[in-house]
Amino acid sequence: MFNKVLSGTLHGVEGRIIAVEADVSDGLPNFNMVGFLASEVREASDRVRTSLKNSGFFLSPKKITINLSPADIRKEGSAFDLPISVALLAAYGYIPDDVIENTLFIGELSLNGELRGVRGILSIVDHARKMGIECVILPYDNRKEAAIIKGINVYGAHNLKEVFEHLTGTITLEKTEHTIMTTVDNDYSIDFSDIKGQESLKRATEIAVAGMHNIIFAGPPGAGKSMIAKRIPTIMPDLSYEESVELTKIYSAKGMLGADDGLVVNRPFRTPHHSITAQSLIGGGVVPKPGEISLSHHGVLFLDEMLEFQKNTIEMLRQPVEDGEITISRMHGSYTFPCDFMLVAAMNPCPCGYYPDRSKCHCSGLQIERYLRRLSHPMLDRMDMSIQVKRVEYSELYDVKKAESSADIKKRVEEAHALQCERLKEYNIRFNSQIPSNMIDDLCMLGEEEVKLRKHIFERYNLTARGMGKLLKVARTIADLDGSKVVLSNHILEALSYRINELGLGDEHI
Amino acid sequence: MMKEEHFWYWLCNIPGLGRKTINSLLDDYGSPENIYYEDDNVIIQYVKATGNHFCNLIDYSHSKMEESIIYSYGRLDEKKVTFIHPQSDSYPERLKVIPDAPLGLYYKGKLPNEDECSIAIIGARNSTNYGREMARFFGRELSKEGVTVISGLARGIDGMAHRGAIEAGCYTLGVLGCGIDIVYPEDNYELFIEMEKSGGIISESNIGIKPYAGLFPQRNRIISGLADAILVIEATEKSGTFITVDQGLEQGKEIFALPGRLIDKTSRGCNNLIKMGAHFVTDVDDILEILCGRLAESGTDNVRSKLMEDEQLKNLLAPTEKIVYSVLSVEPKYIDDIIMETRLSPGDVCMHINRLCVEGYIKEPARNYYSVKI
Repeated sequence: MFNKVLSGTLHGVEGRIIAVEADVSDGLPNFNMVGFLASEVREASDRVRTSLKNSGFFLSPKKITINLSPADIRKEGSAFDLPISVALLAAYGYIPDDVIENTLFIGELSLNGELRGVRGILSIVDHARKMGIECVILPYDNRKEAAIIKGINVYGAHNLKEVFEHLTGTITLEKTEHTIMTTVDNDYSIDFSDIKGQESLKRATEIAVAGMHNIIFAGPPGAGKSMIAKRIPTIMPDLSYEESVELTKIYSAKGMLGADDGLVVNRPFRTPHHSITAQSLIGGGVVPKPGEISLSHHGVLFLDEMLEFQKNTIEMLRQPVEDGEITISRMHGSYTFPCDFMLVAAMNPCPCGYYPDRSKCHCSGLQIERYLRRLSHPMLDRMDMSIQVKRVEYSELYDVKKAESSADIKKRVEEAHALQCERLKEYNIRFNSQIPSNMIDDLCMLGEEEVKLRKHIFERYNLTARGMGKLLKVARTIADLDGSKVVLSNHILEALSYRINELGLGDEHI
Repeated sequence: MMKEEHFWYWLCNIPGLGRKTINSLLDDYGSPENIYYEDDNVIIQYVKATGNHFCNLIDYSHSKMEESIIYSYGRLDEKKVTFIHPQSDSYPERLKVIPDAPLGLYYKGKLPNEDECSIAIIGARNSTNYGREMARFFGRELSKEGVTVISGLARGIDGMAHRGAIEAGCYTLGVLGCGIDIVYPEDNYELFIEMEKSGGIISESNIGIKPYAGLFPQRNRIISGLADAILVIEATEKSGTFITVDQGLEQGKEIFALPGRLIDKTSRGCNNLIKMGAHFVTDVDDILEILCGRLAESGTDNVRSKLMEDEQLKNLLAPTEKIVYSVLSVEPKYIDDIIMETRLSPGDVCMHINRLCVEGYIKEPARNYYSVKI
């Protein structure tokens, strides 16, 4: 008897439909599995046979052949246990053929027939819906993740027996209603009002978020660089439904969603330690999995102590920062992961960390330059803003005056985002940081006075064409925050405070 | 064919032969040429008799190879370095009279005008912004008055004094401890290039000689020797600056010192100097009066007039700019402190402060730190 059920697997972060075919025929008793299988899939044969037996099914000794097609995709993971069992039961005639049509089965089995959750559910179910599949039966733990997808019936089962009874009509599994259940509610326990003082740093951060500019904080240890970076997600606009789904797929593919987790609605804030390898930052492995840059998709990638990272690790960021996605090629094919993030970096201004406080820092100008040169020029070119941070003074730290809350700042950021999206719609970009260099002048609409100022600044600060472009982009964002249609000289002048050139060093060495 | 300068050049570059030995050889033989043509063994015997055991016959004979002398002398030309010796016309008169006068000197650019007054502006490498600003100010204003500024091209005070003179568009001389083709400290690379063009760099060491600690005290005697007076801007109690001051006193030079606050470590040396009788400097005039016997001409800024100008500048500024400007001082101030003190919004402060920067009223010594210009 031949039978076929549908299942799915992950390719990168996208789902693929896999047909699981089972054939039971006379001959020497044998259990054979084919179809480009990874070893964990091959092991399914033992799990399936035992869990079927323990669930009360008797399989007479026959020659059993299982094929997973299409055969050119490598099958990974333990999600095929359930579909193989169901296909076998159908092939042995326990289940009628018609009830398994147009239904997707996913799940790992334990030896006693319990169903266990698997990763990547969201992508697979989303893909199944697109392929017109109406119904999905999966482990109870995964039901909420699957229910994020609208237009497909989701049934969560605890064990194989339940699945069998549901299919034969003895019981009806409870259908999980479509809900946008969220991992954590949108309430961050941290807030911008926690930060005392640091007015210029807060202002710079607000501008950076408003235009999605990559920013570097340079300052001594304990100045609050990480503290403010952690709060950046709280002032970013809420994730849209589409963004959430995209992000959840990545987390699901990486297996980072818990049993009761649904859609990820908080913007991610990832802060990898500087000992991280290039593979775990960018994504990789024999079968590539998303790395930290993808996990910070639509959120913030914070590189604390940026100069302490391996140089080649940092250099790997060049292309993803520019493109917003990363393609990784491995033996079994190439995989593309989205990684549209805002890069926030923190570093010390000199080897000892205290420059320009000369009572503590005795680094020479040369030492400082050499230290800063660890950050390569191409990488520096991809940063838009930088600001020097100083330790907070006592009077600021214990000031009773309440600082501005994240909600207030977020409102301004959202308004600035709306203005940008409106203006940049026709160019198919969303934020000022993405403006290509040839369009900066058109979008800034400089007046006569501003052009004069631009020339003056260009010469006075010894800027490069690219440096000037970045300065104007930041000025464009400041104008947006200001609600101004054109960029005025005030905006350009403010942007000068955040310029990128020889970081930390001003007109001369102190 | 060896000429006089070749003989001098040879004499100054014999391994193991120091200034003392050379001087006594010159006393006996009269000229380098006579020494050159004397029998090697006789010279070595003579040298050994003076107590010098560093020079041996092999090295000495080897150094007398004519081609190699002419070749290595020619290398100086390639590097645009000029060699002078006590018999040269351009050898500075001021150096002839100091004790332990240098023999051969190597320089790039120009030598100072002998008719002009000259002053050595010196101080610590690790200095405050105030010190550096004052060094630049005095370097600039004294050069405008026709006083040649001499210093050691080091980090901190020295470099800023040179920079001030260059800002005024005037000649300035840097004295190095190492060979003058070696940029030390590397930070001052730009300054080196600038000084080769519009000023001069001089050293007692041949090209290629690397800096080491023992060379610097020797350099200091040339700094003080070339100057008529020494102005100490900032120095701690045990600063190397005092080597220069001591040598200056030995050579009979006037010593000036800039007073500082009692609590400032970097000013303690200066205050001590004043206590011991150095001239107390509060203005350009104080120096000019003693050094040249006249006061500053109009067009030169005095500290007093500078402060008045400051007041005038404040009146020219827009009200909010004035607020921002008035909280700034010579010591660099971080932007947040400016925001706190002015109670303006961060955006406005950034804007005003950068406008002042762009227009050149203030400067940004380190990123996001601002100070007024003097």
